[in-house]
Amino acid sequence: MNLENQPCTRAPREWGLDPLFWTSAKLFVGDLHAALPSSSASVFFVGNQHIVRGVEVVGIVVSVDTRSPKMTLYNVDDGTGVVLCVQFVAAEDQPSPALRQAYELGTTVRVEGRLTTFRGVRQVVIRTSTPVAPDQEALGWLERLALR
Amino acid sequence: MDLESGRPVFLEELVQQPAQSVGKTVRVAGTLHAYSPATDRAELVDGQYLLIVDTQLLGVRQYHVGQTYQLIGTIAGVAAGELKPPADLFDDAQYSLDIVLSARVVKAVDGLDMAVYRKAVHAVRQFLESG
Repeated sequence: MNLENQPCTRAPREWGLDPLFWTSAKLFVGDLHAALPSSSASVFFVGNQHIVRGVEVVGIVVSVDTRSPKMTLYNVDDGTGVVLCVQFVAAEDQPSPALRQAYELGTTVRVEGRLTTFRGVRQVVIRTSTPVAPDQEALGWLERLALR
Repeated sequence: MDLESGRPVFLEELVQQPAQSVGKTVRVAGTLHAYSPATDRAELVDGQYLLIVDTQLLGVRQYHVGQTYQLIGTIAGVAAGELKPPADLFDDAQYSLDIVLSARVVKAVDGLDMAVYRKAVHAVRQFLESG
């Protein structure tokens, strides 16, 4: 992706001065994979020295993995890439798989969460996820283009 | 699991240049023109362009002819003579018997504004190519 990512030259104690540090940045999945890592495992650099912790992606669920009792793994495809999204299951829901309502394949979802790298793989730890209408995905693409 | 992203494409791009699409993972949208559960074959239409879809990987589900669907899958090359031409063709229909979409994800998207969708795809594509 052509954000021309540059690492931030400011000291970590000044990272909070960047507004994107405190928000969920609306990015393409391709941007998530291209983001530069920092000295912190959950902080990344995008664009002109911007600092990102939280992200929001909109895309289609292309795989669902509910084998683990503690988490549900989704792969979300927005047309620019595929990213792994991890939803940790609440302790009270773990013994009852029926309570875990995973999204179906093909569901268009808006996922908001924390961007991390685990075992070399970029992933989003889901804070909130919402199924949305298919029109919202096209709107999401246009939003992300406008925000660049 | 390494999944390849489905690049949004239009049916006319696949039908007019089938050889260039073989092996690529794509995302298409169109109206269901025909479906045969016996052969796991669906026909997707967008305007005058028709694409043949292999629905074997999609499992058992109900399809409604005339409904709009979005599919993600891989374009597979087909040997000459393997595919039967579509039946009940409309006037000026254009299709290719050299490729078939092996779909792995399907979503009913009735109500999707195709005009806005096309513009959005073109805008994203223009941006990605300018990088």
